[in-house]
Amino acid sequence: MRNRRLLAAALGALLLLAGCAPSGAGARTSAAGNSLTWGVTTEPQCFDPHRSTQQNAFIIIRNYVDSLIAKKRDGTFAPWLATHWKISDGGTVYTFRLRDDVTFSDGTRFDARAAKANFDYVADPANAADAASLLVNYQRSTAPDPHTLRIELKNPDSSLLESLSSVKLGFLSPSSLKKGDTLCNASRSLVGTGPFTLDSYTRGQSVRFRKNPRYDWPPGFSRHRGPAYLDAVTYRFLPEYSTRSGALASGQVDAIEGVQPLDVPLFKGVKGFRYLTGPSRQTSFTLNINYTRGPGADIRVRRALRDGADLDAVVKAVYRGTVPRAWSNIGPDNSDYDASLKNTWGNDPKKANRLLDEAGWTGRDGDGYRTKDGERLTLEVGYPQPYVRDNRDVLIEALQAELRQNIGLDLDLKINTAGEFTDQKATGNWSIYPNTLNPLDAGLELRQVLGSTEFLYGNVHGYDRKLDAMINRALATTDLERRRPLLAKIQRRAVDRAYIVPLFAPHYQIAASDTVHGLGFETQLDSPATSYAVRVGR
Amino acid sequence: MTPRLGLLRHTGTALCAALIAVSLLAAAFPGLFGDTDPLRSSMPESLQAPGARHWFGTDLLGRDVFARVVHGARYSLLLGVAAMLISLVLGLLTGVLAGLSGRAADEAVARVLDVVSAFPGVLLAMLVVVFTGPGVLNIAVAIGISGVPKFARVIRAQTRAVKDAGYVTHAVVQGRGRGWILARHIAPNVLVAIPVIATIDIGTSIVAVSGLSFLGLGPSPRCPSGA
Amino acid sequence: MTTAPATTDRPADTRPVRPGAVARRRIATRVATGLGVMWAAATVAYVVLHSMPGKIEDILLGDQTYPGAQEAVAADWGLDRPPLVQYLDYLGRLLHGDLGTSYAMRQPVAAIVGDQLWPTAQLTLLSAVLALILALSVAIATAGRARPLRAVASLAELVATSTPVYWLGILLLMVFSFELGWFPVTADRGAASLVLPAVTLGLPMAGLLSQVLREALESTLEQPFITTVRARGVGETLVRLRHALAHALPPVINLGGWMIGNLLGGAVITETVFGRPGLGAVTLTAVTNKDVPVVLAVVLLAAFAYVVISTLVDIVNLLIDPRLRTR
Repeated sequence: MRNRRLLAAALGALLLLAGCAPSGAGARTSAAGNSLTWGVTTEPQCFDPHRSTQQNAFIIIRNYVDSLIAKKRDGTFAPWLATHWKISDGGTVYTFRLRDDVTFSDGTRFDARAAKANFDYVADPANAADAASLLVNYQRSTAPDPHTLRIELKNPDSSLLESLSSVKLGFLSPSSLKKGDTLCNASRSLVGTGPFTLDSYTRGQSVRFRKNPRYDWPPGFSRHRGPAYLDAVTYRFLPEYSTRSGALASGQVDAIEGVQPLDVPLFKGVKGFRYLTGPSRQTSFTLNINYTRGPGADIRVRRALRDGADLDAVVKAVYRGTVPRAWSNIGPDNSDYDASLKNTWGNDPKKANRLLDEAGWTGRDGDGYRTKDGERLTLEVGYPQPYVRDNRDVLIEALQAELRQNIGLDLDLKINTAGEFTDQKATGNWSIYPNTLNPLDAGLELRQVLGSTEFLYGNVHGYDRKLDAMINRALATTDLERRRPLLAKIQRRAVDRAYIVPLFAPHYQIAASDTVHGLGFETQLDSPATSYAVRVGR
Repeated sequence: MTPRLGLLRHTGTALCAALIAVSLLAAAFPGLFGDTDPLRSSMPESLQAPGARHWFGTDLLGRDVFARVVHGARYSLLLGVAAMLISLVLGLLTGVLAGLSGRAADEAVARVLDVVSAFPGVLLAMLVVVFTGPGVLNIAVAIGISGVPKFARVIRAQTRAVKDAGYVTHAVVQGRGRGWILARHIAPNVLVAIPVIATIDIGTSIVAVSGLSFLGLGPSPRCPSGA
Repeated sequence: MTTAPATTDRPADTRPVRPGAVARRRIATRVATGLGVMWAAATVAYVVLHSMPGKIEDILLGDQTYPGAQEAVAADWGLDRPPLVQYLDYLGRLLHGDLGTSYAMRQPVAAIVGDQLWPTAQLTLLSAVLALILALSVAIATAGRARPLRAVASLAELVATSTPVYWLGILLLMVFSFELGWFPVTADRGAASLVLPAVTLGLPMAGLLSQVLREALESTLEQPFITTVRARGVGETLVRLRHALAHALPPVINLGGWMIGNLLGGAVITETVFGRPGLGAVTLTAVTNKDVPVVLAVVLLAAFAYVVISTLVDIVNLLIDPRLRTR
């Protein structure tokens, strides 16, 4: 691993020195007609919105899939394929009025029956659709008339609107749904209502879309109306960071997603390029500390871990100042983020040392670590190998070094397998679990990492019942304005009792030739928006 | 050969020997090369250029790269040697067995070796890492196993050649025991070919591990591999 | 792996003889055992993959948790049957050419692998040819020549073999694609986009082949029959090309099977660096996602390639080395 990072550093520096910047960028666009080529990090394994589990796949899938409603930056929802909606007093019946001018790209009309068919399909366990987890409270839906959709829930669910705005609950043509498993393949049988239609796909290489000439139903907040500006858009799969950067710098692609910190200076503020960063609404990269077992059961140890390092300096060094450090596990751009947490914790090694002395970790061993009764103060971080990315293991290593030097705590990073973690979950035997979650409703996010029924605390004895009650109360509160303070209290309790140590707020990066306009991010996903509003030209 | 060229030749040999000696020393006694802690980080000193304080500069976390190279050499070399030893031991056993036994056993061993060779080494290593975790030992075992056939085939061929050699026949005629013949005649002659293969094998193992690291399947962070 | 010492000492007389019945029978046995090797490789892989920690249902479900999901998935994929039944079913379907369905991609494995076969074949064949040409030219030009020349060649070979493939790939990309703009990084630009990946993959192999070949050439050039040929006044180039080379080739040919494994491993990295389609990329995603059916298909394919190559190697050896025919 060292190898690779040193290499990346060296190559980044070389690229900089070479100053190979804007020579041919953008020159190709006119020759290829009104089209654009992206270089993206990830090739979707599955192109079916209901089944895909890779967050980066949705950057591509969104091009042909629309949703009922769209999430706005302020956390409220805008009309999309539904023009307006109403929630019953009990919070269990949602009634949507649908647009009457929408068609799938195969010519089929989009109506309440098509919408119902999609939800029924996802909710049916036999279809094993990943999006089913968004419909746990789904009872059934009905279509009283072609343009009215009624969704009935088993329980009130404050996260339903967020879920309905997700691409995972976007719509495919009822004829597509009949194709079942084969939908994962990027074939023309993937028919949606979106601004683009699938043109061709070469596995391992690229996927190409053509514009849907009849499209005229973008989300309510869109400034552009009518069909997409681009006639065609190609997404090239370039998994290697240096390759993507080089391809953009040499004009071989027009825009890239995913820029490593060392490459940012190649594009940010450089003539001929533009560099954009997306919002951070999803959970921040966070250490979840199992507060029910081992040394981590002692709040003083947890607080020492939280405050024993200068997190600002660590994040700045590892990410070269391209990302902010985090204060809560809810992203700073989320409307439910508790901003009052800022500057309330961290970087106080003196206090951390005092806490550890009080907790009885007063001995020292040969390597300089604290001990108690001959045992070293060790907290294991079990990081499943498939989720290691973006230098996040390096970040933990940096923290490890700081904590060793500052307070003699051994933060033992173990890269394990997903199978080992599954076993640890099953026995409640995990110690520290680092993670981010895919974009979800903030209430759901908090429940997933702190709730007593979810993957981390589902099999643990002695979880915080008070916290659990707070989470359940928030999730049953359908009025999002009234819910916000409840969610803030949960975040404060989790940070104060050091159940979580938020590390940094990740965000997506786009770098592009400056001839590309209209780039942006989708609020619900945090990731680059579709190519609908993208234009090419001087 | 002119004296100049001769000198050049000796200089070359000496340089190579020195390089090897230094690498081995670094692996065995990293402390000889300064007492800088390869794990000591200092965020403000992140990514510094090489200089008097840090000979090879610093990495992202402000750790001394020279110290990390010196200490990393140990892990790389250990991994390479461990993988090689696994290949060598298993290769010796199967190779000598096949070389000394009758046709049927020889055929059987050859087929088993075929099956092992049919698995590309990288694929085997990747599978091991994904399913059992990126431990150094796991990786060494995976790379070691995929290296068994190349040792075994050479050793088998050598054993065959030695077995039919005059001095062995002579020893058999003299009524020497199997063990004696094996230890006295066969083993020394079979082992001649080993050093060359073994040396190259250590190198290729280290390169293979660096490839795994590139794919995100390298050894765990606590034990950095290579420079 | 570099040398097969026992086979390098060969006699002067190698006039081709028509392969006899012995050879034919040997080839027939070779094909039969080849099939056996493939079956064994598939079985070993099957058993190992199915005994690894973590349930396949969990892999199929990803992060989903809802009541009845495990059972539904198990029934859907036939995972609720006894392991032996599942294995026999797998073998049976294999015999009919059915490689199963990918867990992660939910598509027929045959289609996924089939799509990707050609790009990888193109890449590996071109790199193998490149490696051979490079190795032949370097070895023939430098074997037995003045020391400095050989030293330079050895050094170049050493550097080539010990350079990690990914590093070489990125370096070549930086210089020839990003900086000079001679070759595209994107694979959809025809033959030009194949050049850099092929060089990346071929160069380390060329270094190794060249080492082996030179060693063999040098020992051949010392043989008495070469002296005889030279005495007849044949030029040095002709001596090397026509007479010495044929005798020095077998050790290189014997590396054929090893080359296949190496090329496939290298292809994983090369395809990732260049963002090229191919089996390497498929293998990487399949392994990291524990997509067992795809991994099994790749193992089968690698075994097939290995069996074919090593059978060819045996046949070629039979044709050029008469001693083997009578054994």
